[in-house]
Amino acid sequence: MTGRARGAVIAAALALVLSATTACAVPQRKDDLSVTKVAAQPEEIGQIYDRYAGVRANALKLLDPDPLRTIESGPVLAIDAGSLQVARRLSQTREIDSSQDLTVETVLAPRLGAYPLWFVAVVRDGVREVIRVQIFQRDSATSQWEMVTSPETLVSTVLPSFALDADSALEPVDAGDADGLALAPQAAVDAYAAALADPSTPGATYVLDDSFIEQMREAATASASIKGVEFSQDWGTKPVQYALRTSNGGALVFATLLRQDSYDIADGRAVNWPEGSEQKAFLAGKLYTAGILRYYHQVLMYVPPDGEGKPRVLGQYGGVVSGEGS
Amino acid sequence: MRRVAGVLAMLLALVLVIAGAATAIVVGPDNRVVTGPHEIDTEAVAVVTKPSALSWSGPTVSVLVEVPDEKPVFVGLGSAVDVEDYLQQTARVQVDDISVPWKIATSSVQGRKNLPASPTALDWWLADAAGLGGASTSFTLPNQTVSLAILSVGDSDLEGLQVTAAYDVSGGFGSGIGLVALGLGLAVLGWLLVRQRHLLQPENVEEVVYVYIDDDGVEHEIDPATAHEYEIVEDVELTDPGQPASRWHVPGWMGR
Repeated sequence: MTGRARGAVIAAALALVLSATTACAVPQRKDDLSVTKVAAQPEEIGQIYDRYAGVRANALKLLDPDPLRTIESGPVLAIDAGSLQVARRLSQTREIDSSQDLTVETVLAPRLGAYPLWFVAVVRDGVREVIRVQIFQRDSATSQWEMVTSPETLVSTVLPSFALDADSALEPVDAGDADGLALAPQAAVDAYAAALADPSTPGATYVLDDSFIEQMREAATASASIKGVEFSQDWGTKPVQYALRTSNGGALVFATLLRQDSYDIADGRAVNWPEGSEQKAFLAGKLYTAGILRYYHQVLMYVPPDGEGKPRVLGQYGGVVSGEGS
Repeated sequence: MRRVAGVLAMLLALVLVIAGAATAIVVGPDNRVVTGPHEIDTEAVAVVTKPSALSWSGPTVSVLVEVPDEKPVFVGLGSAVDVEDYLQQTARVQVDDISVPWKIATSSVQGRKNLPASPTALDWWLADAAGLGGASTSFTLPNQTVSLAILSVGDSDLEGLQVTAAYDVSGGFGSGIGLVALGLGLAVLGWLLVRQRHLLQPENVEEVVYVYIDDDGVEHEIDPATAHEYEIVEDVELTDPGQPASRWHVPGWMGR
């Protein structure tokens, strides 16, 4: 008998003996030695969110995006920084409400085998009366938790419930996995962006014409109606990183859409944006020749199970992130 | 049947007594099995267990790490996901296997000679401690896959590292004593079962019969009181298999 086997026999005998006689901690061989962990525990998430809310409150109070760089990253940081830039310009003309009332309603995390780790927080924003479905991510073992996406839904919007495994952990869905779904998450998001860019494209029929699409088309129509301005709008997508199985077999997909509004000004004409508008904030002064505004829109898309309807967006959070013009 | 049960009970009792005594002796009154200090020969900045090395959950383990010259040292237990990510680019000694109480197999992993961040600045350790010249931490091995990391802090290394491990077995000593007591009780029960066969049989009653033999050689049974008036000339013991032994006293004729 090898030393290992002998040790196991002794340990098993000891375990048997102890378990038969006392309620003391008995060594047990682990069933599963896979290298995974639930990304974060609820109590840990509470501390992370408290830190986030504190830093965000300071950033809003000072209209300063710098503190946000320690708690946010990626498109959501760009959106919030842009929003604060607009707000700072607006503050010169009117008072800004910097109050916040955030209540964490649900926190859930998936079981993951490697970094980046991430978790979902469903938060009620009492000031804006919306529900924020946020994802916090930690890129490496030495980095901080940062919020990376934050689509918002109306309070009245009913979110599909998340599917949970035996450890009450979320079940991620691969972006390219269409198993049981109307469309794979990435394909659904690509079709959605195509529908936004061109309603007549064949891919547009794969997704539902929801209120977000209508709202974006109305804005594009308004911009295109400015006399002496040739307006165009392009849409793109970032690779889908977060998709979660819902309890009915569908998926909730967190996606980031890129939007670019381009303005070509006819010779001899100039465009002066309304004071306090996002165009004014990013395109200082009048526009004489051309201008470009870039937006991020983070959307929460529901992809139903196969045969139960088309993918649709339940909520979004977006804004201008950069612009240039002359 | 009772005899077989009794023998089995006594055999089981023997096992329990041996196991209980062994447990009590190994664990001791402080309910702790201590091994070490054991030297780990390395000049690296990290010694870390492979995820599969800590394959048991349940027991409470205490680890004392010591380095010479008051060098700063850190010891921590973390999820294998966190520890692997943290040390993935660091040169380290990897403990591939641990046999209780202390037999380890190690391998060297090449990499950078420094840590990506101070271990004391990280918030995901499940248990940790740091100190100058030594550090000690205690933890209950969880069911999730974990790694134990011994790390140098600052610019130092782990040369001269010594590790002492203690396995806490809460209630182990009492359990051992309890097993001994249980075994002894079972032994008594077994003995009684074995002995019961004899106890249930008719008791060996010595029956004494007094016989007077007259001059013609004819035997006459007499009562004990009468017999005491005579001299006992012969004492004969008779046994009949399956029957109680009989003792015959043959008084001789003494005359009145």
